[in-house]
Amino acid sequence: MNFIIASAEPNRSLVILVTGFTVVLMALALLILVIKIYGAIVSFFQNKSKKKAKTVSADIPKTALSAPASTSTPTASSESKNDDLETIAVITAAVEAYYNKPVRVVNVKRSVDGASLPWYSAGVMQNITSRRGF
Amino acid sequence: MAILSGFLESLKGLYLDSGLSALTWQNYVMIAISCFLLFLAIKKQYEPLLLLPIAFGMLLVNLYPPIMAPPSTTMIPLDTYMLEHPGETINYAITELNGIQYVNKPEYGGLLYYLYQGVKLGIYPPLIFLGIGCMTDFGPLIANPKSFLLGAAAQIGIFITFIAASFMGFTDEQAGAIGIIGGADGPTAIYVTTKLAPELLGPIAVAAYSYMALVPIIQPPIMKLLTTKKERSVVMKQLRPVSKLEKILFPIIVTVVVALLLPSAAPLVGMLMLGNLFKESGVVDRIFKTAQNELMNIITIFLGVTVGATATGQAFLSLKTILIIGLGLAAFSVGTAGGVLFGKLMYIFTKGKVNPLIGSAGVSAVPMAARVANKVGQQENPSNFLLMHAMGPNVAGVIGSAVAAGVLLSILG
Repeated sequence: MNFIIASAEPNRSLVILVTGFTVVLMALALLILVIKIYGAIVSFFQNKSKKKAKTVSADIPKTALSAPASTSTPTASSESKNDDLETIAVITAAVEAYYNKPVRVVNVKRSVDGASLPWYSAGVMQNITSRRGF
Repeated sequence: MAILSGFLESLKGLYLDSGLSALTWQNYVMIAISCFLLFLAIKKQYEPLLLLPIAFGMLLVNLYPPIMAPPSTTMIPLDTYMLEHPGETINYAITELNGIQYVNKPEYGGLLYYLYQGVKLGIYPPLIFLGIGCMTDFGPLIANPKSFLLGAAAQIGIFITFIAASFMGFTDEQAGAIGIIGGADGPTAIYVTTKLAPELLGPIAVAAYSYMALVPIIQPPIMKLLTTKKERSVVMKQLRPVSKLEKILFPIIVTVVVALLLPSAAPLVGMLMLGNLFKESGVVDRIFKTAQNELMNIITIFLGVTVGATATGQAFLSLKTILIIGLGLAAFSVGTAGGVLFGKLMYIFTKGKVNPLIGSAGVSAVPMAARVANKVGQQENPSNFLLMHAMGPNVAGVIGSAVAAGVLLSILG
């Protein structure tokens, strides 16, 4: 190997640097554009079908919807109350264990975003950590 | 007396046949290096899935170089052959040279030579990409397509290193193969090197996989140096959920766009996306499982052992290798810095909504680089989970490095 510093053609190398990096950037920028466009199209059609489904459900008589609610017995409701209390106790214990100090859970909100559910995140984390790079 | 002399002759023959007489000091140094790499793979668990077969291939080829020998033909004078094989029909071609007839007796190549053809012909890296595609969730990237920019920015390491290698006296093809180490993607590095500079395959593969294993050590100081405490503490907004249809369309669209723009990147990107389509379509469960498990594992064994087997003492122990190791580190570091700096730009333009740390994951090295971004972020704020945000640039980096490989192959190939 000939280690002569000046042997390389600086212009050609610079051209490759500029061309290469620009092409990579442009190609990926184009992908952003394409993904945004098809994302918008997909969500447009999905929203449309959701709206359609809502209209159909609104057409169903209210009596039909209220029927199953009236079948619930007082026993079932007291059981579910019991379950709720147990769930809150478990959550409080878990939060206490996490912070390692006494806490009082005052509010539990249901997350709208599926991806933010702790079980979802924990599952993804476990999946990722179980795989090593190739 | 005759028995003793025969015994000594046999011993001499055995010694001459053994590696003890045939091996050079370079082979012994390489045996020591391979044992060290085995230690790193087994004890320290540095990328063991690949480092272990690579190290063992290295060990094997330096103990028994003919295991990598190509097939050859021995020319035996016809008379001699007939004397040695009386009454036998000659099944080999006979050539005449200077009035003497020779029997061309073929000698088969070594085991690893044949397995190496999968590397040499560029078969294994795309098949590895198929398996990676099956394992990859592009959801975070689809949810936040701007991550593509971070994946692109981190590829700057490839091109800066290309220039550095050119100035150090490497040919353009060799410089391109060295630069691709900055893509932090083993199969891509191997694929490009076999096409541009196959003579450098051993050192480049070892450097690429070693640095990928050292991502948790190399990246954090660069990330901390280029970011402020405030920037590292940014908690990013939850990503939107991505529908199944979007996930199914993604591999098809990416394949179409990349293959149309850069056909030379099509084998890598195409196989990556095919694997992903197996996963997301949900209709080819058997194929999906085979591609991500059995096929992937088989190819990993073949690729690792045969790439390791290219690192013979004579080829590996040279100034070139030391330079490649140094340039590989530079490529990784510049790529990481490029990603983080672009992340800072995004932090400024989004008024503090993007944590610049996720830019470091743009060097690919999936999922290690994303885990490192998450870990460094949690050092500032333990309840900050950047993992899913970093997975976006991380998988964008895989596509970005494959595109960069396509660019290099188009320009230099």
